[in-house]
Amino acid sequence: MGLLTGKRVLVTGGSRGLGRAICKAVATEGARAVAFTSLHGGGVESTQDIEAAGAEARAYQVSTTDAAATAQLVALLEKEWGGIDVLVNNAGVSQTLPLALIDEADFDHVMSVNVKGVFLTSKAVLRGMMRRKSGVILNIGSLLGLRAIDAPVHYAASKAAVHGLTLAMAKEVARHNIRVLCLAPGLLEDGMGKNVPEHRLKDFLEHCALGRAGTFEEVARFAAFLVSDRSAYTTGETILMDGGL
Amino acid sequence: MARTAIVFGASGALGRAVAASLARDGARVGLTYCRGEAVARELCATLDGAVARRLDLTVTADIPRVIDELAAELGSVDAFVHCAALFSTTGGPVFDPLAAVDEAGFDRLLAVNVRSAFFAVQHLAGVMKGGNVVLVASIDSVKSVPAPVPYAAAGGALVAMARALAKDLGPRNLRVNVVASGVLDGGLSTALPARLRAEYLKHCGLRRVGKREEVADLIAWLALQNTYVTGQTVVADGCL
Repeated sequence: MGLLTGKRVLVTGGSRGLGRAICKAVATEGARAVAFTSLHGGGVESTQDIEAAGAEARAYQVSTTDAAATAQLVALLEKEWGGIDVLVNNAGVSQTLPLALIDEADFDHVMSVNVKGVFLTSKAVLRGMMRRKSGVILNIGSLLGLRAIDAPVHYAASKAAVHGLTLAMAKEVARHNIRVLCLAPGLLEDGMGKNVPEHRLKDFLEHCALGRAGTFEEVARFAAFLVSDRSAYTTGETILMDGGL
Repeated sequence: MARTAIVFGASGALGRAVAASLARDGARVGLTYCRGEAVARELCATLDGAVARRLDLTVTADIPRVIDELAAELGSVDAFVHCAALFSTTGGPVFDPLAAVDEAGFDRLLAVNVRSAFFAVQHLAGVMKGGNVVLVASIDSVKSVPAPVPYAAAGGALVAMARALAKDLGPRNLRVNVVASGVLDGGLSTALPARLRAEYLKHCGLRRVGKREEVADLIAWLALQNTYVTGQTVVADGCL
């Protein structure tokens, strides 16, 4: 029996990269249904992965910064599934820019997707979780929000905000038997890690105890465990998964 | 998926839950006990392929020998869990007042809780071909809470040790992490005075003590399935 047998899971930013791997991992662990959002639509591969693992797959083109559309999607899933057991706030953006070139619109955009999107989606989902006195929210943070590393300032700030949001949200909703966690990956093989300049990548690998970047699948497997009932006493934590930097 | 694991302190309340979780997840377990021979015997009878050795963790010279014996029986060691700890410098289930701690008691507690972990991992580094080490500590090693000072200091040492070991052993594909638990439904937590236990529960987000199985499952995941978390302390405290 899988870790997530019968669970109904919503993953934001689930059409590719880490989000896709998380969709696949939760389905593989027995989730009954997995819905994912993406900003630009698509996600055929995610749908195929979820269905291949035997779960119901649903794809929605929704921006997590659109409060009305997010609330509408959550209401739809609540009605048709009877509830959402697990939310993974994975959607995020970054820009490889030095501080001097980050303008106000860039800053607002990154903070909006990476912080406000997490808040809006969580708020929408929490209502049902509180009613049912059960649920788990997993936020995807980043090493860059925890350690002093050359990184786009707005991205690092947004991920640090996610860690703070995780703490306060976990404390507030724990009384309803809802857990809130944050999994903070280090450098991963693909996705945003692709934008790291070669000399920084070399430096990272030299300082990383395991001497390699992580994979989406490794992070997704841990994510599936953390949102499962096997991890029922861990909440409010940000867990760094960086290969020992 | 790892197939073999050694657990120090498996006859303790949390240790036996850890051994059970590891076995459920498919590992053959080699376990050590000090005073809990009956529990160890029961674990060997109920867990598939489990083997046990008595080991007094204050006797450093015995640690490599017992590890080698267990490794020989298991055929390999893919994971190691250090789950043995004294809560009090007196050895009993009491909360040490600062003034009551004497040197011999302090040394004994550090020997069991910290020194044995160091010398076990030092030896295992030459035995294990990659895998995971999980050291078990408590919430007082990472958060400011009322705790017996020697016990909290020992947990803090494990946290720092795991970070340095992770750096040292990472190139050999050995990962080292700590699991720090909050107040649980058995084991060392039962030594907390009632007033303090109530205070913990008041501040615990989930407003309940943890189940040993919940922490054991986390330890088992990190011991058997983890491939990229290292040098970390993962807290399971219900949001204190």
